Amino acid sequence: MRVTAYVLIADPNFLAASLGSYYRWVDRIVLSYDRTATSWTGTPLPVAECLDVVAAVDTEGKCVHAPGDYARLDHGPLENDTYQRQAALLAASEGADWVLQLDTDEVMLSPETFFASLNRADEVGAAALEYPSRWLYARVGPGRYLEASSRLGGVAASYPGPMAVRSGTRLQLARQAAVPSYRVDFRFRNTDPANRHDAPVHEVVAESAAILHFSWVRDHDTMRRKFGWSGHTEAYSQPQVFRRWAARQLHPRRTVLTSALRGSDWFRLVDVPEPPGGEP
Amino acid sequence: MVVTCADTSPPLAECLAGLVNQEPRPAEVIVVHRRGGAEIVGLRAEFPDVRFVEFEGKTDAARNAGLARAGAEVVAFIDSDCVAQPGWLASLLENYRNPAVAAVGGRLVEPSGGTNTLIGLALPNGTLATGFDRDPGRTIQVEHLSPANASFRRESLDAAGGFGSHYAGDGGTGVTELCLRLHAGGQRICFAPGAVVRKPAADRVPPFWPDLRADYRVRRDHVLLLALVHGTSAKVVRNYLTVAVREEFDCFARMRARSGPVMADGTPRLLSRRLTAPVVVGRGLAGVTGLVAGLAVAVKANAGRKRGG
Repeated sequence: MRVTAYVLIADPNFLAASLGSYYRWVDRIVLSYDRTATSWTGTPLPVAECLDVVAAVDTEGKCVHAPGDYARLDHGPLENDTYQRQAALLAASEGADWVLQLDTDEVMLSPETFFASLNRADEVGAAALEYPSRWLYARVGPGRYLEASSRLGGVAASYPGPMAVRSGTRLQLARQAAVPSYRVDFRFRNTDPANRHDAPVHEVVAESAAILHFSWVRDHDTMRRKFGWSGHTEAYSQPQVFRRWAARQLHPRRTVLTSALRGSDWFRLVDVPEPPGGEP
Repeated sequence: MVVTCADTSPPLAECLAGLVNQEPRPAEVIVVHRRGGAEIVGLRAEFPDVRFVEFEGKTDAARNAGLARAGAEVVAFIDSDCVAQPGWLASLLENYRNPAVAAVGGRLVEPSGGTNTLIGLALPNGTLATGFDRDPGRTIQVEHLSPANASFRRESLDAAGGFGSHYAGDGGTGVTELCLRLHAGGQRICFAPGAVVRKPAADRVPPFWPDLRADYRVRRDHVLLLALVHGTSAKVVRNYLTVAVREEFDCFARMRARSGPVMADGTPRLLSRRLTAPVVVGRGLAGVTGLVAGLAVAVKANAGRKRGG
C-alpha cells in the first residue's frame, strides 16, 4: 500500500513535530501554499519560515513543492480551504493508494497504531479513515493542557474530517468527503459530542494512540493572527472568542469546574508529555 | 452447492436455472427442502442432475444436512428465493486460489439503504454491519457474510463442525457464527462484489401489532452468537449488553411519544393509538428477556463445550 500526504503550509507552530511524526511512513509529501504567501482571507502568511522548517525535517527529499493561487478573495475562506485541499490531494494522489491529510498542528502519537488502522481500512474497502484526535484548547503550564472533553470530563474524540482518504477522493467541505469511512474511536460508543451518539465505531484505540491537535495552543499574538487566516474566521474573529480563550487559559480550574454547567465548550485538564508540544 | 428452501414455489425453479447455467458448471447441486409436494416431481424432471433432499428443521440444520451430502472442495450456499447472476460462481471460486481464504461471499441486489456503510464488519459494540448490497469495486476482506450468498472451503467447514444450530430464529445466524469463528481464528473471509445474487426485497410493511417473538429471538440469538464466538465474559458481549439494554429501555420514551395527543406531522392522534401505546413496552421487555435467555443458553453451551474438551 503506497501512502502519500499533503500539507497546507501556513503555520510554523508544531509543523516539525507534525511532519516528523509520519515522515518515515509516507512516500511523498506535497507542500501546498499560496505563491504570494497570502491567506484565504488576504492576510500575510509566514510561508518562507514554514518552508525552512520543512527543509530541516525533509532529510530524505520526500517533500514536493506545489505552490498555487489560493488567495481568492472573491470566494469565502472555507471555499478556498476546500479548493486548496482538493488541488493538493490530487497532486498527492499520483501513484498513491491513500493520502494523509493532517494539518500542520496535528501530531500522531502512535504512527504504528494509525497505520495499522489504515491497513485495516484498506482491507475492508473503506474510502476514508476517520481517526480520533484530541483537541487541545490551551497550554496552561509545562505539559499541562486544557483539552475538549465530554460534559463530565470524559475523553472526547474530535473528527475535523478523515485523516486519510483514498487517492482521487472528491472533497466536499474542507477535509470532509461523503464516502464510506472506517471510523476509529476511543470507546466502543461514539465519544464525539458533535456526532450522533449511535455513530458506528469500527475500531477502538487507546487515548495514548490519538492524534494530538494543538488547535488553539498558541501565544496570544499568533492566536490573533490565526483567527484572521482561519477558514472559520467569521466566527473566530469575534472579540469575545479571543477574550474567552485568554480567560480560560488564565483560570483553567475554574474552566473545568464550570464545564458541566455550560451547554457546550466542555474541557478537562490533562498532562501531555512534551515534546510534542511545549511553549507555543 | 447447497440450496436451502422453506418451500418449493416458483422462485426455486428460477434459482436452479441460475445455478446450472453458471460457468464453470457446479460439480453438484443439492436442494434441501422442507416440504415435499407435486412441485418437486416437476423440478426433478426439469433438473435431472440436481439432488433433492427432504429435511424438517431450521435453515442452519438444513445447511448441515446438505453439507453432509456434498463432496466438493468448496461448498456454496444460496437461499431458494435468490437467483445467481452470470459470473457468480466464477467470482466466488477465483478467490480460493489464495490458500489463506476460508470463505467467500457475494453481493445481494436488494436495496438495504446506508450506502456509506462498510460491508460485513463486526463492530466493537457487538453489532454487525451488513451492507451486502454495496459494491466496493474490488474484493475486500470482511468478518461475516450474507447467509443467502456464502461459500466455504470444505476443510474449514469440517474443522469448525458445520453450522451452529442453537438459534431460535431462522435467519441463518449459524453462517454468521461460523464466519466470526473463522475470522477470530485468523482465517481470511472475502467479499467478492462480482458474485451477485438477486434477492427479492423483504416485505417491509410494519405490522399493526409488534411481533414480540421476533424481538425476543433477535436479541437472544445475537447475544448467544457473540457469547459462543468470543466467550460469555468477553468484552464485546458486555458492550453489546450495554447497547442493547439501553436501546430496549428507549421503549419508555417511545411509549411516551406515542401516547401524546398529536402526531409528529401535527395531526391529532387517534384515541385507540394512545391507549395502545404501552404495547411498545412489551417489545422492550421481550428484548431484555431475549438477552437473558441467550446468555443462559450460551453459559450452558460453553460449559458443555468445556466438559467435552
